[in-house]
Amino acid sequence: MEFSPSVIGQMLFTGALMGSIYGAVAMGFSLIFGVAKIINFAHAGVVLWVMYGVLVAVRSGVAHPYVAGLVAIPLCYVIGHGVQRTLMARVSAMSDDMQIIYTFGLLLVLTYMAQFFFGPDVHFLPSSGLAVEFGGVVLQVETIIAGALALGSALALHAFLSRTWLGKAIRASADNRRGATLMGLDVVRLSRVAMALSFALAALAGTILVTVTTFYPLRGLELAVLAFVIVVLGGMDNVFASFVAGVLIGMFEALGTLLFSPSIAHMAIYAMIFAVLLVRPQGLFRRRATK
Amino acid sequence: MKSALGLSIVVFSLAAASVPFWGSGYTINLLTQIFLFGFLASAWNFMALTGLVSLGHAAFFGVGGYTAAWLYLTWGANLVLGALVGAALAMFLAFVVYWTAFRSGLRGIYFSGLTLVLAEALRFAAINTPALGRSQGLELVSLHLPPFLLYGLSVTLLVLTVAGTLWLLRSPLGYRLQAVRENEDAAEALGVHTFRVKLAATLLSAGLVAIGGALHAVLLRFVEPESDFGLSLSLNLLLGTFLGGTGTALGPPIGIAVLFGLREGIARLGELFALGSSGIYALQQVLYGAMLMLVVVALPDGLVTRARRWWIEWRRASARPGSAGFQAGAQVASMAGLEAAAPGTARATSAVPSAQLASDSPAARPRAGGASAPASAYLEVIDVSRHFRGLAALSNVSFDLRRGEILGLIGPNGAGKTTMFNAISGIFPAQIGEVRFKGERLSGLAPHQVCQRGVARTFQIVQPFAGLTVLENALIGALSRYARIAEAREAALAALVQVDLHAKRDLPAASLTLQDRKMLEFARSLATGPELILLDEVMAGLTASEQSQIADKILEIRDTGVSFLLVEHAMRAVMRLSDRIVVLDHGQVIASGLPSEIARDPGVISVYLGRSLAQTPVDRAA
Amino acid sequence: MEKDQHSIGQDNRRWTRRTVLKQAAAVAGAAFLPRFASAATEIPIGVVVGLTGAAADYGRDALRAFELVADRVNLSGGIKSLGGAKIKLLVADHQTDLRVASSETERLITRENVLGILGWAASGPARVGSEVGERYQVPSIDTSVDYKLTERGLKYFYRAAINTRQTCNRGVEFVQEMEKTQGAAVKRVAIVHEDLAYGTGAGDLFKEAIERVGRWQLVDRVAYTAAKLTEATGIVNKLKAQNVDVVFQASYPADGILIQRAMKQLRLDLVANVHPAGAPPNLQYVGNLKSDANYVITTLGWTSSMAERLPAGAKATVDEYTKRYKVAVQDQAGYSLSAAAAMVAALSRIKSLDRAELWQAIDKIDLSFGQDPNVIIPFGIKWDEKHDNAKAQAVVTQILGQQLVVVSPKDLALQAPVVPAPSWNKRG
Repeated sequence: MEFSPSVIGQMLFTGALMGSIYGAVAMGFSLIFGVAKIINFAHAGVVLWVMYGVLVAVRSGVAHPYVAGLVAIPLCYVIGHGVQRTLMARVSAMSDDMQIIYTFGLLLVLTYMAQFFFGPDVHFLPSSGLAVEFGGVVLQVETIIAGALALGSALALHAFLSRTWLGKAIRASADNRRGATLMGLDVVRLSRVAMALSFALAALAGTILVTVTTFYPLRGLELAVLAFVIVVLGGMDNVFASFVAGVLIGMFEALGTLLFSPSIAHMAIYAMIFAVLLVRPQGLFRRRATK
Repeated sequence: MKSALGLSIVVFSLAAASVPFWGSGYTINLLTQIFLFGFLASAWNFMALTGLVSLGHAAFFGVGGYTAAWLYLTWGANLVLGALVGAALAMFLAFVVYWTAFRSGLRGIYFSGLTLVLAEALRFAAINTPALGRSQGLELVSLHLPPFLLYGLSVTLLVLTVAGTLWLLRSPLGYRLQAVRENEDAAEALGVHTFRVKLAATLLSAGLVAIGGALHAVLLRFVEPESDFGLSLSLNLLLGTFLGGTGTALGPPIGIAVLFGLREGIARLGELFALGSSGIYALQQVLYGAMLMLVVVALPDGLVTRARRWWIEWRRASARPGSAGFQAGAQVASMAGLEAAAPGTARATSAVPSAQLASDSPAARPRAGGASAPASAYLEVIDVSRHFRGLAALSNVSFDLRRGEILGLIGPNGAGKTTMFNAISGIFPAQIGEVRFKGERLSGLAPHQVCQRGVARTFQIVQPFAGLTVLENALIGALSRYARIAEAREAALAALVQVDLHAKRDLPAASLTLQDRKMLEFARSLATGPELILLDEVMAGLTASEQSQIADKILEIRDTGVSFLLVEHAMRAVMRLSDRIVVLDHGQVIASGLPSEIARDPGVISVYLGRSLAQTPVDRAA
Repeated sequence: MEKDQHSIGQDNRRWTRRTVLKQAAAVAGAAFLPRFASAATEIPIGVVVGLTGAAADYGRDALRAFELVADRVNLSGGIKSLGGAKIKLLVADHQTDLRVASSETERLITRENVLGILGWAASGPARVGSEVGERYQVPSIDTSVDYKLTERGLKYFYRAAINTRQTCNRGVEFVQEMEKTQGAAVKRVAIVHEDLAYGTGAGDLFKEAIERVGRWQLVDRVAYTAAKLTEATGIVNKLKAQNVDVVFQASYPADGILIQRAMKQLRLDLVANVHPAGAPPNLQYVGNLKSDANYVITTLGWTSSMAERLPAGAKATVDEYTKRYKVAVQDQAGYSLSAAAAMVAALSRIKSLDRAELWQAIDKIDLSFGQDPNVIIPFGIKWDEKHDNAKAQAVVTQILGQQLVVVSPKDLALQAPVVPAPSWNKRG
């Protein structure tokens, strides 16, 4: 095999872009774990529903995917707020195994509701066919936009969490719930904001996924596992680290595909996460806890 | 209770043994599957006893199945041998993985993540290994075993595991597992070698699950990556165990049976309406998912635990009003945590301890050699320093404690008092300098080893094992020096007598008042038979009269030959209790001496005490 | 090959007269037989298919086909040799789960006392279920395609469907033919397959067949995980870097669509892209890819576009199916109609409801194309020594103008193949 610059360039760009999309899927999962201490497997179910929502909007000629996404994001924000008040209100107090069962149950509900309404068929939005070409590297416009949106949202979220008062309050309650309560922060309300934000992120992830990939109901289960392993790799409650871990996994997958095969690349990814966890038990980018 | 359980196991075994005589092949096949999964869930439960949630037990299941199948196909190896080799391999894998994981302090969701990626990595390894048939799997084509043999095997394994769980729950290991699950730090401080306990439970679990995997391979005559290493297997074991009741003996198999029934029932319901329409199938799955959510909300401790509670309440309601109360409450407690503990507790309760027992009790007797140790070399803290990310929590701290002494360690918040405790008890060992007890180095020892050398500690925030009874809490401590449950129970009871908790021995620890919880902490550490007890703010949050009760208790116990290192904010009590006082500020010793000297030390007053202390009557020193 | 086709031609000629007579007799029989005789007995036949789970589409199609054939037989007076007994289908759902497949098969055998089994329409469940049938000596006719199923020496297990060995070999053969007839230059070939049982098996078979050809260089074998494939330019980039001329590919629809789209995006021009059934025959493949799906080649045992060239009786069956279920007869339904036909033919030869007798009757089945209106796969059913369908022959189809068009063999072909495929730049 010839590893010409264009082949390697294609590999690097594809890996980084796909990795950003993975990161976008994982960020919301990470945010809600960090703030509300909820292991929310159902996050992927929300992503799936957004994908179907955008699909329906596009197929019925109502809107372009990105326009549909623009509507979906605030809509999901509101829904997320409501969900944290109702379905998820008691979840953060549960033990790990209870949370896993509860949110996995919710994921099943969401996944199979999608199957009930939309059927088991594969869906795919016709791509624009527009591509950017440079030095033999060909990148689909949708993929570039998807990667850019993912990166942009990661940076924006990072800035929000580290610069704004609300963001700092959310981080404070993530670091130390008890302390945040003592400082007079309304942790319950912050959890609602976090869940709403995580839903909005799911909407973003769903919108960009729908423009690049094929999907069907069971995709939800696969995305849940993907988000979970990325977040475990990055460190559960560090949102930006989850994005970086997503990019890392995308790059790893692209490299493994080029050198061996995608199937072996997956084995290598799991083996890598396994090794990282043994060496750095709090995830790749998280500092060790101190007392 | 014990006989009822034993009887039900016998009845179950007999009923199960009769099935081959009347059941159809289908009945036997289905029951084999249910019993096999019940067995697997019971094996999973061994790990769940430690409070760890594995999402990757499929790894061991698959290793067992693949090993047996591969050995059989390649070398014609006997399947029983193959299963055992598979179990050995799985245990080896578990040992390597968990040894590293526990060493590096992997916990909670990261542990779940680790197990998940392990199983997935193995699944992809199988998918990409030609010798294992890739996704085509390995098929045991030529194998023909009579179905009742497999059925018999699955019944036997299930019965043995359930009986084994019952036995385990009453064994020292079982109590230690419970303690680890409730609170690992507290367990470690009570002399539980948590690392070894967790490793033992996980290895046992992995080995048994591998045997189940081999049996499954023989049952289907087929192994393939998805059904052997897939996530759904791990999830089903988690669901079944949780549904039945984690940590109980009967819970996992009952949960699995209900899960099978639920699935089957939902499927039949679907058939009633419209067979084969994919919409109905989707609704079945939606219903299944909703059931899972409902179970978590409605039955958070599982069916078995809930059923027991109802049964006990019903019995209490139907019993005469006078005899109710205490005993029923006690049973609720021990049922909830340890179903098998009841008979033992009942036996112990009947032996009413006398005052003589209390004073002669093992708890009150310091470990051998205590008396002959030279007074000067009891606890020595020599030039201890400890940094956290550049911040000096302790720098060059030195002091010593004499035998039989009560030494007060005081200082403002953040002065390094708790860090000092942690350095002595091995939680965060000193980076520079050393701690010696009776001339022996404590530095570098794990907390449980420190405990076993006669240095016990309590925690600032009380951490009782909430799911256990008062007696069982103390029992955990006593198990650090007695191998036999009976002896340990004696010692635990004696410790409870010492702190006046004997009457509440069968109550769940969670139901105690704050003062009683503090007393329980005290009793737990006493039960380890300590020569030195580190008390971390035992007075905090108590009223003045409660404080003085505890102070009396401390003095009483000191008189039996136990020394104390006391961290305390309640100045009145410190001044009253302490023989000498060491003052820490910003990680350094700024003063030490008799309480009366400290009270007058201008440096101490300016740094920490302020005017109030000068006005405090120092009764002891006076 | 030549000889086979000749005999088929004969069958075709003979077909019309015989069927007309037969159908006339059936109608007459139904009219004159006393009512009670036809209600006398029922013949319990088990159907174990996946109505739920991953292979639910296949299970649904298979069940439809079985029911169609059973209803036809029952409406025309049942099985004559058994006194007009009606066929009673006892349906079980294996949920595409191995454990359920095992217990449900056993349930039908031990509780419902089925005489024979039609099933499993999914490879994994077929593996496990056939073992159960073997244990109870219950004959079964399967419609799954995994070649390994019949390489286990089972005595009671038969497969009516065309298997992956047949489709993969035919795909490789076809490319060889194209080298000769179209002058296509093939040097470097690659295999791309999903990494579950179907794709892996196809990958192995392609590899064997390519090695038998000898003169091609197999430059790569890329296994990927269908469920985890979000985007396929990585795979195609790799193929492009190795200058492959032909790709032999085994995919499911969702991933097949992504790979095809990436081939277009990276302008990977191939002499041919050959699939053994898999993604391209699925309606969702062309439905989603539209004209980008053109020129993809698929070898399979049945496709509904063949209907025009079928013998009249078989054509009528296809029409009836389409009318009754409002969908085209997809490949699994095609195999299942034929499997049911074989079961009915065997039942017509037994004298009593006896499994051993049914087994012997199934073993002797030899139905030719056109002889039985329910046999719609070319060119009939007859078992070889492995109990595979020796008369089943893979047809080669190509997607042309967004239609799956038969391009080989000649007597079923509607159009000539377009090989090499035009380059992406010229496709507009």
